[in-house]
Amino acid sequence: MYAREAVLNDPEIVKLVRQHFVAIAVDNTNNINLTPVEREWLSDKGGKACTQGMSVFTAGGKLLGVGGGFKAEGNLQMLQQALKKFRPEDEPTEVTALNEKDRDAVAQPPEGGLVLYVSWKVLGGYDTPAKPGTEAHAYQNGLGIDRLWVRKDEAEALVEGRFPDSLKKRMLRYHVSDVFQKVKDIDIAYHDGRVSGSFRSGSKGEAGSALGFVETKDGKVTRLDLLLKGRGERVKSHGFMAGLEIVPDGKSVPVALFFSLADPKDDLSRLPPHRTWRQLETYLR
Amino acid sequence: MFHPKWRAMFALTTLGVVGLLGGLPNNPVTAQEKQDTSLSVADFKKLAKELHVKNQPWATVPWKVSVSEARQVAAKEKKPIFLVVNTGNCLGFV
Repeated sequence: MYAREAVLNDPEIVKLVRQHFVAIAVDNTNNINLTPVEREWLSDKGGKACTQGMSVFTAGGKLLGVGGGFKAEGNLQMLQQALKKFRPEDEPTEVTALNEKDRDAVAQPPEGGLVLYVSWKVLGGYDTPAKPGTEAHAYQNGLGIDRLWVRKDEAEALVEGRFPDSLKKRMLRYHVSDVFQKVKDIDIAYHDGRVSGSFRSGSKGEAGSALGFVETKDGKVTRLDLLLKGRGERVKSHGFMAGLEIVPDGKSVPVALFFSLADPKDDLSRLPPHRTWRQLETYLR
Repeated sequence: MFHPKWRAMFALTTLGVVGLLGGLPNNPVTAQEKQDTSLSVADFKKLAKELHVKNQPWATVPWKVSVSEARQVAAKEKKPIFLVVNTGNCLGFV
C-alpha cells in the first residue's frame, strides 16, 4: 500500500508511465500471478525483489534500470534514466512467447461469475493528522484494496432478486470481518435493486450500515455497488490493512468498505483475490 | 455477601439493560441505531467516488497483469516495460 500511495500515485510518475511505458505489477510471493517460466525470466530483471521493487527492461529482456522503495523522486529518476537508455530501434517488434506451461497456476475468476473491486479506507479519527509525504500520511489516507469473486449461481440469484447467503458470507469472511472486526453477521435486505443492511463490529459492538445498488440487463448483472460504513479498530497485518494498521490501540475510528463490479475486460480486474492463493475451492464455497 | 439468587437476578437485569441499549456485540442493531448510522444516497455517492479503485491516480495507468502480454504490447508499441514487484500485488491485496 505504501509504495502504491507514495510512488504509483505520484502525478509525475503516473504521467510518465502512461506516456512512455508498458506497466506491469506482479506478486512474487503471496498470490503469484506468474507462471514458473515467467518467474525465471524475470529473475535477473528485478523479479526477485523482496517485499517491494521496481525495474525497467525491454520486451527482449535488456535491463535498463532498477529502483523501488517508497519515495517517488528516486523512482522518477530511475524511469527517466531508463528512458534515455532505451533504444527502440534495437528492439524486435515481436517477441517469442514464453512457454505457456502451467498458465493454469494463475487462478482465474469462476466461469460466468463476477469480479468485484474491494476497497476500504479509514475516514478519520486519528489523533494527529500526518504531514503529507510521510509514511504515516500514506497510511492515514491510503486505500486498502483487493478483489472478490462471485460465482455464476450467485450472480444469477442477484438477477432473480435474491442476495445469496454464500456471497454475503464470503464478503463477511474475507473483507467485512477484516475491516470492521468481530462482525458475526450482516443483516441484509435486497429489494428492487436496492441493498440495505446493518451490522455490529469491534469489541464494543458498535453499529454500522450498508447501502448498495444492483442493476441487471438481459439476465446479467450490470452494476453491483455495496458500501459499508462502521467503526474499525487497529489491525496489525504487516502493512496490508492500510489505515487500520495505525489506528491507536483501544480506539475505534470510522471506516468505509466498498465493493464494486469490475469490467472483466479491465486488466486490473484479473488479479486474483488475496485469499484464493492455494485455497480456491474453499474461497468459492 | 449477597444471596446467590440476588446475584443472579442482578446479573440478568444488567444484561437486560445492556441489551436494551444495544450494547452487546451480538445483539441485532436497534431501530434507533439504524437511524443514527444510516447511509444516505448522498453519503453513498461521496464515499463510492472516494473509494472506487478506478478513481485512483495509479489506476489510470493501463496496467498489465501478465508478463507475456506486457512483452507483446511493449514490442509492438516500442516501449520499455516498467515492472513493480511486491509481496502481495501492489495493485491487489497489499
